[in-house]
Amino acid sequence: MSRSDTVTVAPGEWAGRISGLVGEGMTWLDFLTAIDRLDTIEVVVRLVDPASHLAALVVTVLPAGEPVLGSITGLLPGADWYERETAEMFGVRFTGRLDTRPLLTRSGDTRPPLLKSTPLPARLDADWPGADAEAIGASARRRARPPGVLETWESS
Amino acid sequence: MTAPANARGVIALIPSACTSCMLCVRECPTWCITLDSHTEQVTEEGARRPKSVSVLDAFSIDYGLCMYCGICVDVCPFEALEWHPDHDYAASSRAGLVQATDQLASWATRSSASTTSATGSNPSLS
Amino acid sequence: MTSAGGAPAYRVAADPSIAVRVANLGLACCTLEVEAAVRTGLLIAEDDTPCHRTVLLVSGTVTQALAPAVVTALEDLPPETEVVAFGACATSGGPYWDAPMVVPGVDRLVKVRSYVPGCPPRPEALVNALLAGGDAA
Repeated sequence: MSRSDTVTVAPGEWAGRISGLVGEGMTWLDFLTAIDRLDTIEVVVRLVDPASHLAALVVTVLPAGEPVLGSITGLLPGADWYERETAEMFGVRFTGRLDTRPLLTRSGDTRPPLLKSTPLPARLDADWPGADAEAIGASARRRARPPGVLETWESS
Repeated sequence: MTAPANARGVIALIPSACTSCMLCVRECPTWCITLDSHTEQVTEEGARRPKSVSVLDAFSIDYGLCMYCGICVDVCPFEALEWHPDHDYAASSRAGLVQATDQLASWATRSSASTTSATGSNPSLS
Repeated sequence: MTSAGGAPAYRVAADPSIAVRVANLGLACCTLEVEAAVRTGLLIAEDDTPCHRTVLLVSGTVTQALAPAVVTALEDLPPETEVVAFGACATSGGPYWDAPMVVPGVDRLVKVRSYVPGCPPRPEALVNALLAGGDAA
């Protein structure tokens, strides 16, 4: 395997493939996180072989409507906080783990904050200073989007 | 205690160079810049008809929100914003970190770092 | 974090007549500049120096999860302790003012004596804030 390969596996093969890579010497967990692709959510984990510095990025694709994946904390205890964070921020549900406490949020009624469909109320409530169209020279033809406000937000 | 001359200490405004195009306001990721202006009709001697000029009424940067990314400095087409190394402007209130036109303009003349892009008359130190 | 009632004392190198007790809540990147102030000798640790002022320095982003710990840290310090918000996050939430898990400014939790702008502020800005005694520059 060359330096920093990317391997995509089905969700059912996630733990098995990671276990194999760990067995081959990739024993150091760099990170585990998710990417919101709107229709799907990708979960990615990066493993590194401390001796050779070879690295592998393992990716699996989950349906956005039901992002469920097996936990790898039994194999790599260091994945614990990463899985808690990924669950909290992207709504991924990891099976086979007991601790489901959120890491950073404390108000339990918010949608996963890092999903592209989750609006940030603070950006919607605040008045964007760039909305003033009266200023001379401000192009009225180009509808400017406030930085930080995504077109994928459900509500406006 | 002096910082290097190119330190990102504070952003100075050159009011005479600002055309109120609002690019800096729109591109700021933290929404910390506000700008108010109006247009006036000016007829110059010998001109056939009046032209519109923008008049900057108010410009402010909320340094409590500013993340010092420099996007505003980079995006200004008229080099009306520039970095200066001064960093001694802490305040005892949130409002004290919101700097308006005069204070922003004064950084351009107060700093020991020389700048080459300033045009027009500089405001006197207050 | 500081134990009850005790915070390390620092003498300001630029004005050795001034010594301040500083309890640093190093929550995020801003605390690296606080460390730099000590490591480069702008602030000199001197445990036995008597000080008139105690400062609780909030250096970094305050998340909802850590908010109670910030309040407790202040309660564990003498009642005259001044809170200094060091950097954009402690001042207003900074670049993360829109994040649901971020407290947009530590003054939502405690009374703040001085706000130091920067992302992060320079170590010299920390010294200036301590020298100014919390008054606006």
